[in-house]
Order: sequence, then C-alpha cells, then structure tokens
Amino acid sequence: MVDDEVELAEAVARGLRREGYAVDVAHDGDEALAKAFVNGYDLLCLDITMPGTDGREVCRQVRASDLDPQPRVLMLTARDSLDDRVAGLDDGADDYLVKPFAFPELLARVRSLLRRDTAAASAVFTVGELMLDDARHEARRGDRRLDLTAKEFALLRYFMTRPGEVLSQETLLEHVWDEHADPFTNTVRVTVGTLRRKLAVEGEEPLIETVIGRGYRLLSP
Amino acid sequence: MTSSWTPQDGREPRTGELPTVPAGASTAAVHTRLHSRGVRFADRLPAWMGSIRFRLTVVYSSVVFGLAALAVTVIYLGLRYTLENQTVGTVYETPQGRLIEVDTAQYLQNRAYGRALESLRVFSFGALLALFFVSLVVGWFVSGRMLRPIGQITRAVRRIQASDLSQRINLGGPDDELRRLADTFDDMLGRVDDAFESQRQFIHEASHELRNPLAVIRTNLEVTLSDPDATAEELRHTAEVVERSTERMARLVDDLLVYARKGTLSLERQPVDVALLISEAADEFAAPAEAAGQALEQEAPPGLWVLGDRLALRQALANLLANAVRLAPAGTTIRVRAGREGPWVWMSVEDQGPGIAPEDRERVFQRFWRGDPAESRAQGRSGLGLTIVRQTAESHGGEVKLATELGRGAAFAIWLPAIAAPVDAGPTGPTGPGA
Repeated sequence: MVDDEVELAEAVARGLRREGYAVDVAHDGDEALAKAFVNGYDLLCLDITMPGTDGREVCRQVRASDLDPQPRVLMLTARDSLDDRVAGLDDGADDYLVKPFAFPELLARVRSLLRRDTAAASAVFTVGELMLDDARHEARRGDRRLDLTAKEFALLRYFMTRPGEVLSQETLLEHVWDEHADPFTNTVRVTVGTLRRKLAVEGEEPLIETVIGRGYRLLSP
Repeated sequence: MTSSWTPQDGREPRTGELPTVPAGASTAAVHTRLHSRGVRFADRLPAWMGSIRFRLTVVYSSVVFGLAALAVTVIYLGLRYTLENQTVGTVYETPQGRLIEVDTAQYLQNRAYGRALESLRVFSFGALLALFFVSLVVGWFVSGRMLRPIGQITRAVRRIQASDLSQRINLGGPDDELRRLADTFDDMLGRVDDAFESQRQFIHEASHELRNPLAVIRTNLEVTLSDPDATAEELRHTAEVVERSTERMARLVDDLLVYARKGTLSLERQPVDVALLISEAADEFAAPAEAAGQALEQEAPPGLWVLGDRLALRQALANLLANAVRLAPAGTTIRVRAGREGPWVWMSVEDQGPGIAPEDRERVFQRFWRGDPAESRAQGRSGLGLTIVRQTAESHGGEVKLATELGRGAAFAIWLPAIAAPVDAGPTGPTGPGA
C-alpha cells in the first residue's frame, strides 16, 4: 500500500490486514520501489500523486523490471479525468480506483485482481471438499464450517489458489506474512500445523501434505 | 416579456382595492397594460414584418418612390405650365367689341400638347406604380444581402454552448462594420473560453485537493466501523484522524474562497498607508516570532501610499510572514520593510531560513504546491499562500519578486504602483513623498 497520505495508507493497511492479507506500507515512490524489488508482492495499491517518484513512475519501473511474477497494480488517485485514467492504465496498471473510495469496493477489487492469477471466476474457491468464500470470509470442508483465524484463512486462501503446488516456507512467508514477520521463527510451520489440524478433524483425511525439504502442498483430487 | 405581464391584467382591480397601494401604482399598471396591448398587436403581425429587413425595405422603397414621384411631378407641372401659357391667338380691344384672332395651326398643336400631357400623366402614374413594386423587390433583396452577415453571426452564436466555447463566427468578407462586430465577438469568446478553462482547471485542482482529506476520513471511518472488535483506543485514534482531516479541509476551503474572490477582481480600491500596513503585520506576528525564537524587525518610512484593498494586502503580508516564521530557525532575524523606488512602492519580508532551490523558485507560486507535502498536510496548510500573494500583487497592478539563496534565506517583495498621499492624510501633502 503506497500513499503519501500516511493516515490513509495506515487505515487501508489496517482494513486489509483484518481481511487476512499481509500488507506492507510505503509513503513515497522510492520506498515503494525499494520494497517491491526485495519482497515479492502479489498486489501494489499505488497512489498516483506523490512527491518525488510518483505512482505512475513506480508502476512503469515495476513493469520494466524483471520481477517475476509481476505484481498486480491497483492505482488509487484523487484525479478522475479520463486522461488521468487512461494514462494510469497505459503505464501498466491493472485497475483504477478514484479517491475517496468505499472500502468494500477496494476489497472487492483487491480480491478480483488477486483472482486473476488463478482459474477461479468468482470470490468462491473450491478444491475438492474445500470451499472458501473470500467475500464472506467463510471456509467449509463439506458441510462443516471451519473456524479459522485471519492468518489461517489467508494461508488457506493462498493454498487454494495454487492447489497441488509445492509451496516453500519462504514463499508462504513472503506472500502471506508481511515484512515484519521474522523469517527465523517457525511461525509458518506453526500456522500450517494448526490449519492442517482444523481442516481434518479425527477420522478425516489430511489435506495438507508436507513435502520434506521442499515445503507444503494442498492435495487436490 | 409581454406574456409575463398578461396575468397582471386580471390582478389589477384587486390591487386597486388595496388602500396601501399608492395612486401612482395603478396608473403604472394601466400604462403597462396599454403598452402590452400595443406589443400584442405587433405580435399578431407575421414574423417577417417585424424584421429589420422588412423595415429597411419599406424605408428604401418609400424613399425611392418619393424621390421619383417628386421628379415626375416637377416635370409634369413644369411642362403643363409651359404648354398652357402658349399663345394660340390674339385678343384685340375694338370699339365694336372684342376681336379674337385665332392662330388655327397653333391651336390645333396646342390641343395635341394637351393630349400628350394627359398621356404623360397616365404613363407617369403607371411608371410610378411599377417603380413602387420594383423598389420593394429590389429593397427586399438589397437589405437581405446587407443583413446576411448578421444571420451568419446569429447562427454561429446560437451554436455556442457554455460547454463548448471553441466555436467562432469567423466572418469573412471585407473589413467593414459587421466584420468588425463579428471579430469583436470572436475576441470576447476567446477571453470567455480562457476564463472558463482556467476556472475548470482550478475546480479540478481544488476538488483533487479536497478529495485527499475526504478519502482519509472515509477510509478510516469505514475500516474502524466495520470492525466489531474495535477498541476504545482505535475509535479515539480514528476520531483524531477525522478531526485533523476536517481541520485541513476547513483551512483549504477558507483559502479557496479567498483565492476565488480575488479572481473576480472586485477589489475595493482606496489609498492604503504602507507604513501602517507594515507595522500592523509586524505586530500581528511579533508573538509567533518570539515563540519561535526569532527577532522581527520592521522598517517603513512614512508617506508611502498605494491604491488597493487594505485587507487583501494585509493578508498577503501575513502569508509571507507566516512562511518566514515557520521556516526560519531560532536565533535568526526576520525583516519586514517597505520603501519606494521611482513610481513603485515595495514591501518585503526577508528571512534567514533555508532558502528556496532554483528549480522551485517559480513553482512556489503555483496553486497547491507545497515544499513538503506530508508536513504541510499535518499542519493543515492549503498550498495557496504564495499563490494568493502573487494574485493580490497582480490584481493591484504590481508583481512579486523573489530573491533567495539556498541556506542563506529568502526575500519576497511585493511591488505596487505608488500613488500620491491623499490630501487629508497629513502634512506630506498632495505632492507625495517622491517630491
């Protein structure tokens, strides 16, 4: 989340974190670029009008870089003329939101942009018996509702957008935890462990498999 | 206009019954009614009869007809007079009575003249009648030709909408009165278009400036209110953010109003004593400067006068002083001075602050430009301060000059045309201080 309006950036970050996203905040373009090239982000929310390196320049540099995969870019701006919108999209932005926006709309667009990488066509993901409704913040296995914390929910969402893929601890840390997470703790292992237990109560088949030395995998039928 | 008066016809007797209505009112109403009847009659005429073309035709035709009739009448009368006074015989007075000797040939000839005169009269009437119709037709065409550019202007002006001022009349043809009229219209349209464009630009920028604090308020409220577990501390934090943002918006709206009002050039103009202005401004900022650990020096010789809006000039000085006090470090001196050079009076504010980088020297005057956006936002500044200073100077027929060196300080000077001191202003007298 990049905005020179500190109080806006913090509020958006707070709201996104509550939805289970890992959010880093930057207050100017240079800080944003520095972070974007170090951490692999799935989505950049970029304010266009910033002192120094502005949002459009950040977007151009990110698009010109060899970052792979390229992050999705959602432009936030107080400018609403057609020219501004066209310019923003031409610089490689994926979507555009005019300030002041309704926060639920920002959430919906974030969900929709993150979905674009996956095969899912709506906010509801299904993998075998598992069902996850991103908009309602609800997850089920069959008829059983899963009672998950925000972090566990975010982890499950990440697994469900990549079923069958082996995901390393580092990848999970990068995409589900924010920059403040300590990479030397076993927080990923612990959270994966609790999620695995919640997904499969006794008698049920475990759904998350540990691939020794490589990471974890969500089993897909 | 006519139709809007018509309903009053019915109401009129009632107003007559009211004792409070002065006598003059009812005559005025009758007058109006008579007048409106006259216009109603004109309204009943076909539209083409009310046109200038019709009137021009009638005038043209009447003049041609009148002149021709006059010429024909003069010719006819002259001819008749000459012919009727010709001698056809001689009368001799004899004692036996009168003896009339008639020249028969002459007499017969005279009869022929009489008949010729008769047919001249008939043909003249016929020709005059024909001339009348021909002149009507010719007049109708000539005036139509003359008025064609006006129709062109009307059509062009009709096409012009407030939303699209790019249309121009572009009347071609010789450089005559109508062409000059059309060109004047075009010039005016150009100025109106420019004014509209800068207004649009300003509204665009202003709405952008207002959207940012609005976005802060809205997002903070939505995020906090949608959290059922929000703590009292979080709610308090949100309330504080909202308060700061509303303060910022209020400040911005105030400055926008000042700025927009200046744009209308409806400044009050009266002689302003510059020395008084300087000392008032210096007094106003004495306390803030002292609190910031700065010395504030003022220097203005008496007898400097400018013509202008006192409050606007004072606001401009205050904006400059506020910047100086905010930016200059403690232990430095801020000087606010005035002086005269030739036909100009200057007022300057000098500080020993950080100065302004060369690339920013023009930008500082731009609307909504801020040296440090994040910090200025926190202080609730609008980014209009120096813009207002420049605008004030320019609307007074003067300008703002900036002298600055990085690390050494900045000096802003407002230059205004000097005027002679007003007569009742004191001993300096009407010759003014420059004498």
